[in-house]
This record gives sequence, C-alpha cells and structure tokens, in this order.
Amino acid sequence: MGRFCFQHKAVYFHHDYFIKRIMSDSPIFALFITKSPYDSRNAESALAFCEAAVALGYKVKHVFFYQAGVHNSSKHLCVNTDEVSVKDRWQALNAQHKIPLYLCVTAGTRRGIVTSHSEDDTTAACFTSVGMSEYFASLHDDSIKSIQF
Amino acid sequence: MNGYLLVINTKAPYHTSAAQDAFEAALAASNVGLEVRVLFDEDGVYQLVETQSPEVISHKNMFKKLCSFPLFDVEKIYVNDTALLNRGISLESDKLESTRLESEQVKTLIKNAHHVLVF
Repeated sequence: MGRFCFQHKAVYFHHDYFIKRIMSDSPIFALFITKSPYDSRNAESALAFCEAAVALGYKVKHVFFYQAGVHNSSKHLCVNTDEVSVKDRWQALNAQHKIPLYLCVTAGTRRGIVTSHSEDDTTAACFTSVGMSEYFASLHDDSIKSIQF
Repeated sequence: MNGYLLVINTKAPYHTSAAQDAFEAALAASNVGLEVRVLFDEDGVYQLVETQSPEVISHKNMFKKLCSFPLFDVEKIYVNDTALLNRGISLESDKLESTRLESEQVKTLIKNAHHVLVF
C-alpha cells in the first residue's frame, strides 16, 4: 500500500530502515512534493528518501512537484556555501539515475516559474513541465507507491 | 489500480491555496480514470459551509466548485463528524451528499486507500 505521507508532521527517520521495513514487495516509488525547498524540510526528506531508495536498488519512477513544491525547480536557488544545495542534489539525482523531475505546469505558471515564453522560465534544465495527469496516470500501475512530502 | 486514491482536505477554503489545489488534483486524478474519494477533515470541513460569501474577498465560491464533483465522477465524499462537532458546524442541506464518519471509520478509510494525498 502506498498511503505514506509526511506532509503535516515533522517525521525524521532513517530512510534505509524505513524503506526496508515497509517495502518487501519490490515497489516502484513515485514522489509528490508540495513544499518549497527553503521554507520546509520536506524537499530534503524527499531527496534523502530518493537517494536511499536508489542505493538500496529500488526504482523511483518520477518526482512530481505541486503547490509550493514547484519552487524546487528554480535555477536561481542559491544558498550559502556551507549549506545544503537542494538544487544540486536534484540535478545529481536526475543526471545519475535518470529519474524524471516533473513540475506541475499550472502550479508553476501561478507562481511565475513557468511562463508562456519558455525562454523566460526560471526552471532548471533537469525539470520538465507537465500536466497533473502525468503523475496520476502512473498510479494505474499497482506496483507504484505514491509518497507525499 | 485496484483501490482508490483518497484526497484529504484539511484546510479552510480561502486562507491558502490548498482547497483549490486539492480540488484540481482530485479532478485530474479522476480524469485519468482513477477512483477518487475525498475526505474533509480538520479545518477542511469549513469548505462545506454552504453560506460562505467569498465575493467580498474577490474569490470564487469553493462550495459551489465542490458541488461539481459528481460531474467528474468523484462521488464518494466523506466528512469527519468529529471535525464538524469541534467547530460547531452543522451541514443542514448537504448538497454534496457526503457521508459522515466517526473517527474509527476515518482510520479505516485511510487504511484501505491505495494512495493518499493530503492538502
């Protein structure tokens, strides 16, 4: 079952342990991220989850960014040099493991991230703007476990 | 997919975009053929108040939007009865034909869902 959500409570867990404990039937993960990167830890938790899942040999089908989660896609994200760069980690995840990073086009448009002139978009190259159906259509596959961060 | 996607609404209709985002997510999921069920819990039950007047803050009526759920094949609507009682809300004419659930039934609804999204 895929009814896991870390939306409301600050859930800190050891991702390796969590994945091994609840996932015994070779699931494929689909992540749904709804919080912006600096204001909350959700994106960092999602990244840690993805990295742990991949390291353990599980497949992450895609990561979908909705609501304020679309701010993860900004190519202008800039943190202090001694802080974790969420942008770099998303790019690495996409480049090294070919995990698609999908951005809800409606949510991105409403937040000024996606524009009608693609050259004005502030999205980093590793993110792709798609409709929500892209995410939900994947849930027809029973091996997919949707996890919200 | 065997089973249903449960969309849980926990936010009041206008303070954040959550209600609108949940509504659009439910419609998008139903549009690709998923069985979608919707639960109103916590402050999300304020979305069901029929006498809301959002025109004074230049917003569209959330309750009217919710009433269109059946047109998009979203027909199983649930409300946490405790959330209603805690906020002193009584849904007199329930146009949405929602099902009231006790706390244990809410747990079962979530437990039996194949996927859950919380807004």
